[in-house]
Amino acid sequence: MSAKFIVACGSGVATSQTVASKVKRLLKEKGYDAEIEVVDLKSVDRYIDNSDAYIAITKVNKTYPIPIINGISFLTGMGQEKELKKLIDIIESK
Amino acid sequence: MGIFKKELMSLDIKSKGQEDIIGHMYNKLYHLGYVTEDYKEAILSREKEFPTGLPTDPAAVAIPHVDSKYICKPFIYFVRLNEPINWYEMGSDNTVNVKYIFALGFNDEINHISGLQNLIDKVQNEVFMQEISTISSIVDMTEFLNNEIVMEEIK
Repeated sequence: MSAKFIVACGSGVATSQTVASKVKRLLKEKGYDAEIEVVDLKSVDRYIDNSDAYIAITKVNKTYPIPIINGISFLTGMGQEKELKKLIDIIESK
Repeated sequence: MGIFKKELMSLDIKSKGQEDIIGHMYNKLYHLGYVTEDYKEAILSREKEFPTGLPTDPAAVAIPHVDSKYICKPFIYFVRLNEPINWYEMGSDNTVNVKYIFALGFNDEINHISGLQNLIDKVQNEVFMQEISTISSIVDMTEFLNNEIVMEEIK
C-alpha cells in the first residue's frame, strides 16, 4: 500500500501546491513514490484518518494521531533533508 | 511579457514596517489596475492569520499573497528594502527580518504552481540571492528576474 500525505495552507492558492510538488519531486529523486493530496485547511480533520502524515505550512495548535511534518522547510531548504527523511521512514514502514 | 514589471519594483526603499510597505505596493498596484480596491485589507488580514515570512539565508524573504479574486492582472511585485523589517514567519509565532518581498499576484491566467516552485528554488540559491542584493537598476533587475523566474501562461 502506498503512503498518503496531506498538505494544507491558508488559501490553497499557491504554497500548498508548491510544497506538494516539491515533496513529490524530492521523493521521486530518491526513488520513492507517495500520494500527496492538497487539502483545504478547514477540512484537514476529515483527511487525517486516511493519511500517514500531515505536512503543515501553518501553525498547528491541535494534536493529531499522525506525524506532523514541517512544510516550511521545503520552502526555505532549511531542515529539508530531515523532514524528507521522516517521510521516507513513513513510506518504508508501510 | 514577463511577470515582473519595471513599474512594480521598488529598490532600496525605506519602510517603517509591514503595513507601510504593503500600502506602498498597493498604491501602485491599485492605481495601475493590477488589484481590486480591497486588496490591501485582504492581504493585511491574511498576513495576520497566515504570515508569509521565510527564514532564507542570508536575508529573509516574504511572499505575501491573497485569493485570486483580488487580482485583476497577474504580477509579482518585487521590493528590496534598505533596512530589513519585522515580519511574522510562516507557520510559527516567530518573526524574521525581511529584506526582500515578492508580492505574488496570481490568477487563473498563469500556471502559478510551476512559477512559485521556481521562485522557491531561487531564494534557496546563493548566486540568485547575491544577484538580487547587488543589481542596482530597475531595468536590469526586471530583466534578471524575468529570465530567472518564468511563469507559464495558461492559454
